[in-house]
Amino acid sequence: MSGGPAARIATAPTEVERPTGDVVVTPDRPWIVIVWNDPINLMSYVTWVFQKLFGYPRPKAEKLMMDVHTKGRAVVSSGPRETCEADVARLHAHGLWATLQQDV
Amino acid sequence: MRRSEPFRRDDAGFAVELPGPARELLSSIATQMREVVTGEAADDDPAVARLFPPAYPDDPMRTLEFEDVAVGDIRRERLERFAVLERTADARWLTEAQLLDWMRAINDARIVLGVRLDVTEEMTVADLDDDPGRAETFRTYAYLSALLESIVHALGDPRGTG
Repeated sequence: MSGGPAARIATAPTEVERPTGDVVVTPDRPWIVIVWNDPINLMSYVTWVFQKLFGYPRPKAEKLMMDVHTKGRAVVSSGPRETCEADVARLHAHGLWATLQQDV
Repeated sequence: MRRSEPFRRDDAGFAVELPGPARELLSSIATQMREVVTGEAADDDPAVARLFPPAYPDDPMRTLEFEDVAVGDIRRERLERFAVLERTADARWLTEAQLLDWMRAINDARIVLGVRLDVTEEMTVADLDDDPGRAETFRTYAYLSALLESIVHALGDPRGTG
């Protein structure tokens, strides 16, 4: 946090509200859906699921699958929280390990 | 020599060519999966936890809300798919909807077996020589993997979203 004039004027610094990262939500940041690598799901199946659930053409689905496989994770969709939650639910229903979080 | 594929698309659905023991295995797996997901041990079973991962890794409250809203449906759909696999394990022909149920039921079984085995991508049956029980489980896992590959191949590029 930058030490602007307001910070210097504060008489009781311990009472200054501080963001704690995990809890404070900034509404204008989009949400993202992440699929994590696991040793079980087959590459062909993961590619198929990305095509099926998101309508991605095969090259894009394969690229995302390879990112999951080689980098350990990939962002597969983004948008409002409700949409991302629905995507996570559909991915879980297909056995993929998916989470959502606000983009940083 | 290449064996013929167990699953092949035909005019209106999918032909299924599997030997009797394979069908018995699938039926038995479907029954066992229902027990794994609904049984008393489910709450403490890491394999069940893997089927229903936390949606928000750093936010237990939102994860609980997600579980209240979404997990009931996912769980009910899983049980329906196991029931379809159990009911149609002897079928020589499946609709696309039925094959999609088989696909996901078989993958759910792979996930449970994979967690039980603590499987790695490099694991082979030779790694389990000193443990016949785990070796047998791995053979089942590998067989289900081959079936899943055949299903994905038979389905081809999916149309639309769903």
